[in-house]
Amino acid sequence: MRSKVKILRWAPESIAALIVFAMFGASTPNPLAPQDSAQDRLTEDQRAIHVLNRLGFGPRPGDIDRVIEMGIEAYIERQLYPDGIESPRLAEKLQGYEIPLDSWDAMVELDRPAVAMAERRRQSVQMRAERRGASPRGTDVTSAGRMQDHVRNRFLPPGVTRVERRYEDFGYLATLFWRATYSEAQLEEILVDFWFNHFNITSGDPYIHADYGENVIRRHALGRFEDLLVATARHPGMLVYLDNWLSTAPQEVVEARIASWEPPDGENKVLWRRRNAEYLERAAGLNENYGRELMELHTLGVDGGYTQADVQEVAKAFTGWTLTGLREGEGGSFHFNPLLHAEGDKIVMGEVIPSGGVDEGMRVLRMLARHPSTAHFVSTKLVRRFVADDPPADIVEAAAERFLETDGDIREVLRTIFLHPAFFSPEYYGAKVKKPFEVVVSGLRAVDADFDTAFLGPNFQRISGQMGELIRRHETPDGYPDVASAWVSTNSLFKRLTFAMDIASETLPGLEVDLDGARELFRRVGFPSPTPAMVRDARTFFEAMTGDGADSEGMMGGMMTSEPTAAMVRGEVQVDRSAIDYESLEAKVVEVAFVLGSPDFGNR
Amino acid sequence: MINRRIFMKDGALAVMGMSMVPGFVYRTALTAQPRLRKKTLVTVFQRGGVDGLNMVIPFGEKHYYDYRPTIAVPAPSKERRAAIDLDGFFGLHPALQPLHALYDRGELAIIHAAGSPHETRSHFDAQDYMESAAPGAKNVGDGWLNRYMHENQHPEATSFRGVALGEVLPKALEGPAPALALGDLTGTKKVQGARSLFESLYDRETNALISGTSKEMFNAIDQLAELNPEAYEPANGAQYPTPNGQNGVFGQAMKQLAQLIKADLGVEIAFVDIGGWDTHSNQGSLEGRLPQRLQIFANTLAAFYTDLGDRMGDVAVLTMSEFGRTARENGSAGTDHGKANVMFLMGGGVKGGAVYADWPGLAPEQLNEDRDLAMTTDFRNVFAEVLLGHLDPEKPDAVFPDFEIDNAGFKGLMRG
Repeated sequence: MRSKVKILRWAPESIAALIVFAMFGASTPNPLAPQDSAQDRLTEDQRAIHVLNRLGFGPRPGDIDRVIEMGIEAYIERQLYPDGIESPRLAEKLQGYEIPLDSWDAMVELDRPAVAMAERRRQSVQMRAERRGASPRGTDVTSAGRMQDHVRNRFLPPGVTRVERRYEDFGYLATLFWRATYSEAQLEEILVDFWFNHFNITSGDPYIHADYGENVIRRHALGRFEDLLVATARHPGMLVYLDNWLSTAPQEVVEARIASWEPPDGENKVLWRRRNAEYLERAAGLNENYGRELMELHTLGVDGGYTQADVQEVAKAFTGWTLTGLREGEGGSFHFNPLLHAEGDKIVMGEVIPSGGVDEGMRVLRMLARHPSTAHFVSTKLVRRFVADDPPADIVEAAAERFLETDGDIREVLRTIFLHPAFFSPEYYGAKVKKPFEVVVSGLRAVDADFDTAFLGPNFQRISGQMGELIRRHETPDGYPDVASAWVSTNSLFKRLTFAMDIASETLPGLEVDLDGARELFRRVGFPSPTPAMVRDARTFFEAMTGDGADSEGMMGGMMTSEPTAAMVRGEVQVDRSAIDYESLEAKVVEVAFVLGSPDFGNR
Repeated sequence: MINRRIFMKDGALAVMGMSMVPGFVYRTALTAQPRLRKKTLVTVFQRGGVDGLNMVIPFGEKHYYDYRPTIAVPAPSKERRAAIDLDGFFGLHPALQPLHALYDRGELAIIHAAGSPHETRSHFDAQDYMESAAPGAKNVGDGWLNRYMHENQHPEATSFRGVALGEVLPKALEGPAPALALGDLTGTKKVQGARSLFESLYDRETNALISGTSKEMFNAIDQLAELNPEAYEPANGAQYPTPNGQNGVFGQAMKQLAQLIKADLGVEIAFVDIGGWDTHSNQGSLEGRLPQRLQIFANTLAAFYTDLGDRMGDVAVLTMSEFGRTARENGSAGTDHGKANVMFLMGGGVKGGAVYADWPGLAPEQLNEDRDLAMTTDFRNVFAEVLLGHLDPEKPDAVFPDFEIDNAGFKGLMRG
């Protein structure tokens, strides 16, 4: 526990606290529930909370005042330009970023020499990057930095062992929790999550995964939609995930071309012949997977006005969009191979795409990126993310219009949504149910959590994964859904309560929380507080923490970080049931768990 | 998003939340003696569009081999690994061998060329349509299994009546009737202990989806805490595939389901997912991506069958997938999104040992849009036949909006 908690005994202040509890007790209506019509506009505090909840992962202690002081519109404007935003606390985390071997050990069976080698390589790359004066943002000390030198243009870099790749994966995904929690550029983090799910891929190769997440998604998260679309289309992660690297002209056509083809002078003829033979073996005909999902999920939407014939024409336009190397270790970046391309004009939604090799795919992307159905579909999804599950038509329309006016300038579309008069309408306040990643990160922010790799190692995927969102691991291309009905389940609720109890009592190793800061924040927001009877029964809470030996492996292994709470959980310190002391440690733990587990906190 | 549970914010569910659900609780909590054995319908969803033509191979079709030069499964043969002959025309993929004994015993029925009348080739639309049992109707927000429960309520219903084994509730179980999603069950004792702390919070919640779900959870928690899933030992030597990343998920889910059924908690409707069927590339013939998935699928279902033993007399397992795949293999030794597909039905009450199909043929002119196995059996009629034969609901018609159940088209899938 970072701030030393003074354990006060029953004191006069507590009487005042009692009155506060009487006012905000468990019978108060949900402060974050959609407001009734009696309130026609949000208060200044509510507006700040709304912005923090929608443009970010929820307030930390002190954030509400910071936003009000800056001015709400100024805050929004600042968030739209993340490039100059400094995040000292995040920088500190990323700088000290090392995976202690112990916690890594817990994740996978460990090949220590390989990890040590990876670590040495990481340091040397970092040093070189520093000598070059490379910017720490986007190409920082974590995996992205390593990729810049080693991986950017490699599909599977030579000489990298499987263990190193898993190491990399752990590192990258772990940084996403740090970034979401500590970055001051909160909107950027929201958008990285949003666009990753929109252009979802999974890859067994963590380098691919991390490169896609950082150099494709993050790079264009507030840029032009067309640039983002093109970057995803050309990335090895997408080419492999949706099979386009294997999609070719009919086999006999490719066969004939390869038979009569001579490599250009100066090229390694043996290598080319072998590679072409491999293409022929693996890829001999049309695969429409990418063509379909490109229109259905990335651009037009399933009702965007295309047919099965259009899917096939688009798939033909993308034949030959493949990778340079097909074997492990050969390296593989985007490569257009004309020998594999289906020649001839294509007709997509009535428009002729003249025969033109790699340009055909580019023309299709450009056409789709500017199509009114795309403007509408993408705007609908953004409004669903930022406003309401059932996206209000007037905001969608305004956003779609701006999309078309600006050729898909994402920043402009977002500004239109955030500045729309209905954005701050009381009916949307607290009306979105958080998805699991948001539950976890907003919880960590609310208690101003300080967590390290000992916490991330065993937990970074476990907690939100058990609620149904294993981040960056959605198998199908539609990405994780963004509506309440997808996330409200008996299971996710159950897991949220265990999360609330574990966080508030600091029973997960590597985690420190600020209970006082959290309580102050919760009162400012107007979250419910436990009734005196509940606080008096605090002991049952601590008994419950030890009640299930089977699931408390981390907790009971002597790994607790907070000694006072740990002692209470172990039953070594008796909780005095006769006194109601709201400033006692046990009362604070119960109060924070109570709020984190409340339905109110589950909304944003 | 249209969800009846949300629509009925202040209506039916509120009523259910206030009066009916506590009714369940007391009944469930107070009944110490074993409950009446109830029938259970288990639905297994193969997400991604499984290649039914390689699950149950029409080896009697010459065209099948023309269309699939590298991924076809060889016709039954004594000399080498090949399809397992079922009836002289259809064969079972050898990776499904663990289910062959059930077929021989007459407890596995296979329905071929079944599917949706809707033309969509989108996974997500097709899954929604299959789970709502309302192809083409996007405004139908609830699932067919929930509709069954809602329209056919009975006094012995417990909070475990409708259960999905997974982290989130699938569309098939969304709707006004209570339904549980059960993922990893560790931690139940902890939450049970702190129940009084949290329950009051959810009692005053005005969002019906959240308050309804929380009631369902708090109702179930006592019994789950009793179950002690870690200590569960499958019966009759049944061996579920061991947890190993994604490969163990289905096995664990079915194992947990077996435990719930055997504990007599009143599971009537269960839903389990198994993904990994979207084989656009390198799907393989006898070995490869598809056979690996099929093996996990078959081993798990066979283990579940063994584990339940005699209890399978009360249980029917129905498998489904949103669509089949193209008759011809594509350029990547895989198959693209198709149309009709194969469904399995197994259980003690099943009239199995046969492949039920109005076989449309695989000649080019017999294919749907010259590319897929054509649909001759509407999947809803299979759902209806199984519902009627196994659970005998009072109001079957209400389960299928805008669809008339075709009793004459029933295939005789169930005994009695």
